[in-house]
Amino acid sequence: MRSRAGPRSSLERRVRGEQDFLADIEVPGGLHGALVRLDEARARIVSIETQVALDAPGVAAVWTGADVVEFFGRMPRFGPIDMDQPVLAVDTTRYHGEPVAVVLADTARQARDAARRVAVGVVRLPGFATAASALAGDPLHQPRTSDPALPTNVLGEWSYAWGNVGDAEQSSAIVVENEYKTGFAHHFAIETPGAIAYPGPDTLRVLSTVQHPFVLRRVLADMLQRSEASIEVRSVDMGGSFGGKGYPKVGPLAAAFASMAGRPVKLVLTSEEAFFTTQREAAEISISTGFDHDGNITFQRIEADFLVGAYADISSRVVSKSALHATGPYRTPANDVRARAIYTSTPPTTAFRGFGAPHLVNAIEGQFAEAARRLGRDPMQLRLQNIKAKGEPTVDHETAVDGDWGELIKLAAKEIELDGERPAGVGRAVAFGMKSCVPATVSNALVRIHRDGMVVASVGTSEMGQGAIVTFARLIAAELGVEEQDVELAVGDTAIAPFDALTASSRSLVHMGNALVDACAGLRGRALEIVRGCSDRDAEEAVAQARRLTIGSWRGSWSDLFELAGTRWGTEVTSLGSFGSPQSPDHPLGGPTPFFEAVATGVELSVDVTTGLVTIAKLVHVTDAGKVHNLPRATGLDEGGVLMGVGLALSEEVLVNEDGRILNPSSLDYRIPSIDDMPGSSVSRFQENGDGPGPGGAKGMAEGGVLAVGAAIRDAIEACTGARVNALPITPERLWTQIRLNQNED
Amino acid sequence: MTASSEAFELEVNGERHHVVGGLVTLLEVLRDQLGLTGTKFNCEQGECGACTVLVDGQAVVACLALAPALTGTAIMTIEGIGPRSPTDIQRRFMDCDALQCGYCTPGMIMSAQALLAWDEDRSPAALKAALSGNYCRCTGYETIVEALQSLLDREAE
Repeated sequence: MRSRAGPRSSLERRVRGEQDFLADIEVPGGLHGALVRLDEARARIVSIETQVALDAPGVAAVWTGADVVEFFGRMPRFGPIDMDQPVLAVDTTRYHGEPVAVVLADTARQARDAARRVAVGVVRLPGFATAASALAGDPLHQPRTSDPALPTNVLGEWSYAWGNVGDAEQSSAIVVENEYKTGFAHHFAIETPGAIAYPGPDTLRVLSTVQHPFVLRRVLADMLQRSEASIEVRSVDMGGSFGGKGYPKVGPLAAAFASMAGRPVKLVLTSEEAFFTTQREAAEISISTGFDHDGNITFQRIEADFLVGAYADISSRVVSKSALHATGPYRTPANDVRARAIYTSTPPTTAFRGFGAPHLVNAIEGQFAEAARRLGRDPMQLRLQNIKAKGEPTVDHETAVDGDWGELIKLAAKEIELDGERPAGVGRAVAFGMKSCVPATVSNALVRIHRDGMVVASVGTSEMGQGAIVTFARLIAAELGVEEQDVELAVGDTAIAPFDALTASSRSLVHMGNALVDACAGLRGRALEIVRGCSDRDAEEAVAQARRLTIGSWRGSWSDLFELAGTRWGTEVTSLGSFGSPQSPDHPLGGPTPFFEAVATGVELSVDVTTGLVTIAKLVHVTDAGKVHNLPRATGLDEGGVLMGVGLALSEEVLVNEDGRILNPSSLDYRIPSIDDMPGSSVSRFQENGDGPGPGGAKGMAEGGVLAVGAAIRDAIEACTGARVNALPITPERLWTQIRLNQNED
Repeated sequence: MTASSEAFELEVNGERHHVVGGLVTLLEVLRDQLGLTGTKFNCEQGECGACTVLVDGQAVVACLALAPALTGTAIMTIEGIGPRSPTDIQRRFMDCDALQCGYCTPGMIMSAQALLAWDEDRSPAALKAALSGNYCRCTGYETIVEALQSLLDREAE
């Protein structure tokens, strides 16, 4: 398997089918694993009969939770915050598809066939998949793993409040009260998750489809009670992730089984298993918004219940972080938000593009249509009147508004012709979305330049399609004065890259980008030393320009510099760069956001009122990127994000019964957008004011596509049909029903 | 039809291969027996198109094709396309940045290959019809359509 890629080769391998994804990697002498899962949500395991599977061809081992406990002397558990998720369930399962046994065999086919022959006797237990039923249910975890002061099945609760909401409500001209829902969703990366673990005499090496190799390394060390120094994790370039492969999922299982087997173990999930493994939380939100006679927001009162599944995963961050900015970009004199993460007997939910923000964007943006109607105002003007200007404070201890957010709305409104003539049956709307970035994280980068001018950069950033390899190569080439094709990246391997917190939250261009710029500045500094010593002692600066270096009166290439340096450099110069975003003990999340991801999305659509089917004629998406370094990829990321948002707005929902059993864990029944679902036209634009903390003033982007499109679609549907559906996705059934209800009222 | 036989021959990318296993899918034969991992997989239900290959020039999802039924046909995978240098389609994909993670790309390119070889209709509707069985979760399809439409327009001239 290749260990590095350049900007061109990373593309060429992919179009030629030569890119090794995890499932493509052969493991000589290794075993293939298949997991045994129950077709029940919550169940008590009465018996597990393994002998038939053990006798099947090629099978080396069949292990249950009891076998894992016997080997380790305890059940190894994993999770990015709470180490609560067992490698295999013992006694009870808490969600549909929770693994209860594993079969290891010589081939994947043999393992899968044998796994079907493991007979598990179960007693179904009542489950819960709504906030009300979870709060009334019996505790999912006994003994309780969350704060005992909290209600049953509440993992955590966060409140942010300021001003006097009671007084503000009394003096408001109108109060808009609504409830919003968003369903469970599946990331549906086309590549399913997987991992390969190699137990060695010195190190345990794990290859995995994982966004954050250093997080997996930490979790494995804690789970297996060994030093991080004895664990190597390589993130294999992923076939999409969108958050689903972010935190440890399959890696801990493969590592535990390989430790037990003493042989390499490869575990690749099926598409159905991916539904049981990577999910986005659902949300139920009640919101009251006050306005005065002039249209100014007077207060927000928000109660948001997030249904997070059976284990904690990263949910406490998803909920606490999105709730902090629940009031969105709008001036809000008084606010009272309470957000809860509630356990449900459904698959543990994890990060998903937008990290919780889309639920709240949907709710906040949803208030303007009704408010405008009642106040006799235009919803867009109402937004612009309330939106904060650049430099205005956001919430306590947080970064101030770092962009011209009102301008984003105006750009989207203009492009979608919001004020233009609107043919009958056509609906148009614009919505705004924002999210903060993960605070207080660090990135390091190692850049080596060789005597022939070839550059290799080692970074912990993983590649999942966001274009890290191409974008970083371009950045490095510009900083060092070399050709792009002379730069290669080795990504996502903890064995060779210095520490990087994670590849998430659209943070890498800012954090790793700055670390690379810092490393390159270090190399230029070394070049300056050489020139001062050997050529021009008055040289003050090394400037990389037009693929050459200019250092005082000296001009030349890096190869020329190696000649000048002689043995002082040998054949390679290495530089370590670093960048960290600030910590703050006063900030509820540990530090101020390095930047905000801010977008406005406009939509034009029509509705077939006899079927409830929505046809999108045009999508417009405007992103504050600060500075764009890779325009084709940035545009593609937004186009893809917006279409994913269309799927989440109109069709995508993981449906569960009252026990939490998934009804549609397949691509046949969970519909992601196909090429037939493309909008008639799609426009992506960037605001580039150079006001971000990244290279050239860049901010992060790429999650933003999904933030506001749902809210815009909902309002556009109402604009052309009069029917309002506050639950996403707005499936044809839901919309058709609402249209009929409205007709009956008339 | 030799579906019950345990061993049979398949022609893949112009080479004859001895294949074993009886009722195996073409996907399993390609990936597990022949090591042709350029053909990807996801749903194994014929929905996602990641495993699209050509059988006698027509796009076929390998996960639903029984391999023994394909003796006597010519099978082409992504490895057999422009083996020495990228084809026009592959070049357009790179030039238009019509891929992000690249996992769906081989299947997408095989569907496009079938369209170019067989379909007289060069309209945008025909292009979308040819690719409607290939899911991409990254791009939103905009750059894929751009890459292929420019190629179709050029060929139509």
